[in-house]
Amino acid sequence: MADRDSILNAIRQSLTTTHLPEAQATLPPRPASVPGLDSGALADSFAREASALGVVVHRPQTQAQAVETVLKILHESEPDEVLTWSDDDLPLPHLNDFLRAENFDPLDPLVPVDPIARQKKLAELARAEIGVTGALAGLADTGALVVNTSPARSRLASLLPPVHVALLSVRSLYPTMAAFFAAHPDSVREASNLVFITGPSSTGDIEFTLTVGVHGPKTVHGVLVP
Amino acid sequence: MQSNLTFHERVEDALQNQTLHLALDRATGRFTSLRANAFASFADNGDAIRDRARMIRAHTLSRLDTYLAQFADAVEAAGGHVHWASTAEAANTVVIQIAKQNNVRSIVKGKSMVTEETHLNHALESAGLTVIESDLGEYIIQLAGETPSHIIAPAIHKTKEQIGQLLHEKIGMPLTDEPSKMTAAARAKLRDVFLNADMGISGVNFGVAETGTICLVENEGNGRLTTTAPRIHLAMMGIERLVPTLHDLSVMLQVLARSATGQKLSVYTNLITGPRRADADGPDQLHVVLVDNGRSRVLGTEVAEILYCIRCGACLNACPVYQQIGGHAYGGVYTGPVGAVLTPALYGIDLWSELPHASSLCGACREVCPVRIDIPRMLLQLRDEGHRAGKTPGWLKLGLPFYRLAATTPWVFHLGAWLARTATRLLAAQGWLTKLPPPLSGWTASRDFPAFAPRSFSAQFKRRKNHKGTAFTK
Amino acid sequence: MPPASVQLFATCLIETIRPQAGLAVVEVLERLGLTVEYPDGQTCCGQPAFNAGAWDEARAMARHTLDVLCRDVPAGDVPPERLYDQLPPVVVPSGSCADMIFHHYPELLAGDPKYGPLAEAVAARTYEFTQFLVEVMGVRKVEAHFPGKLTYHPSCHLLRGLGVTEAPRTLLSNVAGADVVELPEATQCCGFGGLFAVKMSDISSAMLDRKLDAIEKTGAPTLVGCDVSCLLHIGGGLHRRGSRVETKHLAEILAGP
Repeated sequence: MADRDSILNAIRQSLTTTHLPEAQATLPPRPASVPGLDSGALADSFAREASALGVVVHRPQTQAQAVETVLKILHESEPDEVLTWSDDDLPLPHLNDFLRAENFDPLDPLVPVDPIARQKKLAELARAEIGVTGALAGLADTGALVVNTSPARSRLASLLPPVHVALLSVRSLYPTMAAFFAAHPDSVREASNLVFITGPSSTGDIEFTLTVGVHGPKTVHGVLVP
Repeated sequence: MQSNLTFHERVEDALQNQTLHLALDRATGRFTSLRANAFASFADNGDAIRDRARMIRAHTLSRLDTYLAQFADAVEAAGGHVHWASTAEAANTVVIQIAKQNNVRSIVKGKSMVTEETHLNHALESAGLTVIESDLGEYIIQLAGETPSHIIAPAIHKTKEQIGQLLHEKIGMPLTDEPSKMTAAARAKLRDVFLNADMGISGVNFGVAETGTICLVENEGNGRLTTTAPRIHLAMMGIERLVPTLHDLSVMLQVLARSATGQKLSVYTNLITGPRRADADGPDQLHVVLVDNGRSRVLGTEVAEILYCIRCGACLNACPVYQQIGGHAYGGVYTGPVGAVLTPALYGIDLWSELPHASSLCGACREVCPVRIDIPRMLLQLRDEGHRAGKTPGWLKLGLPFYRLAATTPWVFHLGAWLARTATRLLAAQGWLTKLPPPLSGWTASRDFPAFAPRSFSAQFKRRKNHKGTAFTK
Repeated sequence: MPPASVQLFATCLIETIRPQAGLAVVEVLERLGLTVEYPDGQTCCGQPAFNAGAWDEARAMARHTLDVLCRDVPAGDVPPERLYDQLPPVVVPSGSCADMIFHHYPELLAGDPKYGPLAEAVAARTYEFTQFLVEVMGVRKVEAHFPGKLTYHPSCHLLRGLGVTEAPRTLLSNVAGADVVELPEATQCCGFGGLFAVKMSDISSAMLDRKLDAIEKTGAPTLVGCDVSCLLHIGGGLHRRGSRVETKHLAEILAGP
């Protein structure tokens, strides 16, 4: 703890001679939140923003249609391996059963602790060509998918496969990130990982030429589940 | 590592480098317009949100001890380990210790300025560990054995032809100059690295004190993979990179990506709170290394405001000096306007006295900074410090007493003006001089200098007034 | 109530190198019915010393300038905060010198019991020339005539230091006969930066080249600015290139042919 105390003491000492323009004892009150948009407007805004970022947005009318949409996406590429979240964590009941019925057998996403077993499992999971996950929420202003982690919510499902299918309930849309945090104040604290995803992975590092599918998925489908 | 060349030599190199010039033009121009468009989406061009972002940073730093302690406690409550490093060496030592204790041999890294600052890679390699950079731009320059020239786009100084050649030579990629093919080659190569590394090292864009959360912002997905696949995640963080709450974080995120790349939000904004719980995947251990390395000392000075910086790179893109000389000329890890303040602040004006002078004080940096840092004010502050430390060039030191005398004693001023008028008018050809003597010869290297006017303004004003029949000088 | 008179702080570059700009300023102000006082003993605002980090020297020059600008205040009786009422506005035909007085004099002299308040009082009544015309006199159009194409370079201290963005453009746009062409990358610094032009002359020249290329792109034969320092640097570069483009202070355009 020696360094903790010495660093904190050095800070305290410096604060007696510091010059910090605009520093106030308390921050001004938070700006008033955006007036409640109805869910239709939120969905439209989300769809617009996400599409602009290269997310393929699907707006099925019913849950049955949503299932069809997912199956159609899978049949487009006929993946040998898929990764999914458990049914409890998806807004479509029994989706995994539907997948198995079409001969898509999700891999077991559980990564063991033992280092050798871990590497073996990671290599196996890397073979998945499509990952199907839910999303805790969607943000209408930026088209962001909010994806958290839990025992049955594999992080790698939305990360390793080149295609990511995200199932988002239309009731889980928020106008802004601040609104989402206000509505779900413990969501971050309660998950080891929560990520805001705005489209397929990309880079412009080579002469600004935008390339997608760098280390993360190349294609992201956002299915707005009624 | 400080280059062996002097500042002026590095500047010369940069100014002669046509390829660099093209790359800088392209990059800074593009980032500047992307940023402008992104802020135009706010009704007030982002004024209010930038004001608030500034207040958040100022408030946080004014209570940094409290928030840092709160953050560290919250990280530990979530199952992470916190290590406090006063110096760069201490930080590197801690990382090596953690690696050794956990039988780590291979490490994959995400982009992190603070790890460049401590020269972590070099320390790890000296300790027998392999370190691979996973951010595409950083990976490229690692293969090239160079240092980053821009905070956001580290390989901005390289053309696609150069990169294609490099990847062909170093990883056996079939020769191409198509970025998509190069990216695919790097993806395949790095996928193996991610999945087999024992430890992933990342930086931290913001630490959130109330939850002990590390926020990591990126576009490629390498940050996610670095912090998910390996069994150990180590995050290195400068002690000043905090915000108090998640709401504050949401404000900072609104200005960060817009300022850096013109995006409303980066592709991935990761919020990591502790290591894996009963989760399907994720690292088993999380270590956060808090790095001071002079920050606590800078906090106590007139240039503490530089600690507001959120490392967006907007000031680099806006700076007409950076646009000409690029990053390497600055000689350190932090380049551009922020580097011109931070480097002398952290490492002392003694070694870095030229940097604050490599600026015309145009203020473009302050204009684009998401937290409105007044860099020109601090450059002037550092110039004052440098002058008092005796760093002013000899000719200027000699000239200052004369300048002072002339400017405070009108008859001396007018005598000096008369002398200069006589000399310039004698030496001028058709009213212009093409060569001025040292130390002013720098002027005439590329510009002509006009002869002084035949009659001064004050003389003409007096004559004009007398001619018009009213006397005005008092 | 518009003022009846002004104090002109001519600046050292106008005094020695470009007096015609100063005379043009006087001409324009007198045509508006103002009495122009030119306090004796003016030298230099001290910005080069300040920028070099020689702040003791800069303070000495600031004190001198303040003495010059406050000479007529009755000694002793008037409290410093009332000085504003006693003396006319100070008009400075240079964005950088005006910014020096406005922003840096109060900072430099903050601890000084006599000159601190003087600096505050003078800063409160100091204006750059175009700023004065538009913001204080409410004048957007001056009876001026200038035939041909013009392009305008906004100097950094005027633009970002003082926040004067529209006044020069408004005044120029109302000059009869003038075809004002927008300068590409107008807000890019020309590279003068005071001693920077000499100490870091290579970088300064590279920045200048960019500005000169932009000027040439406009096809305008006249480059207008509000800062003689920028015009000196740009004009010197144009002349070295053999260009026919002339530089003029905005006051010279407003004072007319």
